[in-house]
Amino acid sequence: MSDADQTARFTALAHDVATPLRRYLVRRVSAAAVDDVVAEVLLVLWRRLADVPPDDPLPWTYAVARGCVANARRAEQRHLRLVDRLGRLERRPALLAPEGQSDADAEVHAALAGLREVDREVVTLWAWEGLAPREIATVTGLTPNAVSIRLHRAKKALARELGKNAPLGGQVPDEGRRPR
Amino acid sequence: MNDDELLARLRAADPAGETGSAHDTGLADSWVDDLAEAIMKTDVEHDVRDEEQQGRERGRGRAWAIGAAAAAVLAAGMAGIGLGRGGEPTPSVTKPAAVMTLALPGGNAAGMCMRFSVDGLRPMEVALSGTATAVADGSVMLDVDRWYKGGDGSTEVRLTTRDRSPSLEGGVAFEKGRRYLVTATGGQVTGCGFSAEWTPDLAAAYEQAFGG
Repeated sequence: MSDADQTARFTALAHDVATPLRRYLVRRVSAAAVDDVVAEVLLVLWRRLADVPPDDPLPWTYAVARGCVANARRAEQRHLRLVDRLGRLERRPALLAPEGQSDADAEVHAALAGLREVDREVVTLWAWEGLAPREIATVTGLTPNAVSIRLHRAKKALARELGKNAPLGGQVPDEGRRPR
Repeated sequence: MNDDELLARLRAADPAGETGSAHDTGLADSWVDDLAEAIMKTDVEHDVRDEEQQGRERGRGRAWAIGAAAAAVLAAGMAGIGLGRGGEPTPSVTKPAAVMTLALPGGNAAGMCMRFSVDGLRPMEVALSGTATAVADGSVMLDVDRWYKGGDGSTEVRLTTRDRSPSLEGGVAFEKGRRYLVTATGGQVTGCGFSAEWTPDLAAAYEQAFGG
């Protein structure tokens, strides 16, 4: 691939993924960290352009972002530990609950916080990023089967926690439903 | 509560729920173009500099420069674009990235291999996924895309060995452009199948051991 082709492909890729990537990050890191992590993820995409699936780059992009988010959280935790030497360390939540949220939204965020990290990631990738199980598998490194099991379990747990333990259907979103 | 009702509750509580409209504007296109250009331009500039300064550590400073350039682009380009309920973006500069160094087991190393298992992975102090960007006599550079455990903020990891050809136990040679899963304890990369070229099965085992 010539330099011009690489430039054109990366620019097109950046346009494809930038907005959903930014939304993914707004949901998971502090506002102050979003810009840095967007840049980090796009840098990885640029350096590994040949590895990025051309037909559906978004799950692959989220997989890279997931690693960058974990790094950003660890850096933030290290910073907090340095600042708070008296041990009054508060772990930052893995998902960002917006300020001024309604009671109903607060209830949802509390329910999400009660899930294991992987289950929470699976269910939010389903609900917020609108991914299908096989795409969630690409992001998380789990098998599609494991994703389906975790998703079913997480949805049941959320429904129970939200106080409406009604039977759940088996519907999963397809790519056409991605909210991005 | 059925799936659709649960989906509606979750989407109503989406922290990015109000960010969509601003990104549909022409300004959104502009910040992506500027950021993409900054990344490509800065990376190329540093590649040229690296070639002129062979022997110096690759990557050190590059991530900082790209991060700084990208942060500047974003700070300028995103002005006026709301982050929804997350608030205004705050300009910030990425810290210079360090390079973590880990030692590969020697090619003549002999010893008992522990049987591979997820339980065997869990005690490892460091676990990462990364792509080989440079393979030279005695060292390999990995561009880290994920820290499962023990990350120190480094974006690159150097694997060193006294052998001329860096490899993992079992004769797995490193190859530029290929992706690997690596664990280490006490600064020493673990072999015996606990570190190997990336596969979905091994990635799933890492996820099970370190992910949740």
